[in-house]
Amino acid sequence: MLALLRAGDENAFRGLVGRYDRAMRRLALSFVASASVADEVVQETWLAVIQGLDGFEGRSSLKTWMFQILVNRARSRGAREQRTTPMSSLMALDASVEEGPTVDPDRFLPAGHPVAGYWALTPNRFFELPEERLLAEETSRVVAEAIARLPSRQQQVIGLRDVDGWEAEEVCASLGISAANQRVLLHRARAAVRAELEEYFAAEVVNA
Amino acid sequence: MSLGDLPCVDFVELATEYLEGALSVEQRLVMERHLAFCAPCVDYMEQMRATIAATGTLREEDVPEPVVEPLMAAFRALTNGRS
Repeated sequence: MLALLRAGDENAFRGLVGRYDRAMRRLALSFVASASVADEVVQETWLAVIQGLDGFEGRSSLKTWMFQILVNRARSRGAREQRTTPMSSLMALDASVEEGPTVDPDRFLPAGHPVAGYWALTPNRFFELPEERLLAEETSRVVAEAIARLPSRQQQVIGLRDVDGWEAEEVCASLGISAANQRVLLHRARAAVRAELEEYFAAEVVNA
Repeated sequence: MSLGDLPCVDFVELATEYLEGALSVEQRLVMERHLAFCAPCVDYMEQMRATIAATGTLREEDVPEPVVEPLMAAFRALTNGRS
């Protein structure tokens, strides 16, 4: 692939854009305030990729290298935006959902109970619903809305891992985060989506 | 073996580490022992797996098609004359 790109193979480059442009724009949008700024960042990234092809040393995969360029640019654009906009209420929200339990503590038996910490209200079995219900368009909307409400760092990780199907190592390298941090963000994101789905399907399933 | 080694409230916070294979052998055994005795936590793990599957089917309908032609022009200009 790299050799084709360096040789100026247009189909190879077209394929690359087709494959990654949307993921790039979604990721960029989690760093900056508007779709138009995200588009600009992605455009700049593609130009930087074209210009950098000869200098790319192949120490990471082409994909990881491209997304590192994107993340660096999007991050500095986002930081510049934040210096010019007042601290939003969104920031306060971020802090509160990045720590503490990921399952409502009221779901478990309280301290002092002989089996404290065990389920009081057990998880429902929404996963037993037929696949066409679990993977229906309406379910997708519930998932998409749940992800949209997550803090940006969690959105980035669940987007790359579970929407785009990336490996953990690729996500760590592209976002510049540790393996442990990646897992924490992924866990919080998945747990939040899980809670939304459980509630969404609650009327359709019998609790065990 | 009692379930007291790992209450469910702690089990659920290790679910991703477990699925990611990030736990030590000892921690993994504690998780698996818990699962062998605790049907609700088995269901919790199934919920997590169903969540991952549902997230994996998201389409990017809201992201417009890439505008490829200006990029192709830039690509042509920068790699001009090589092929």
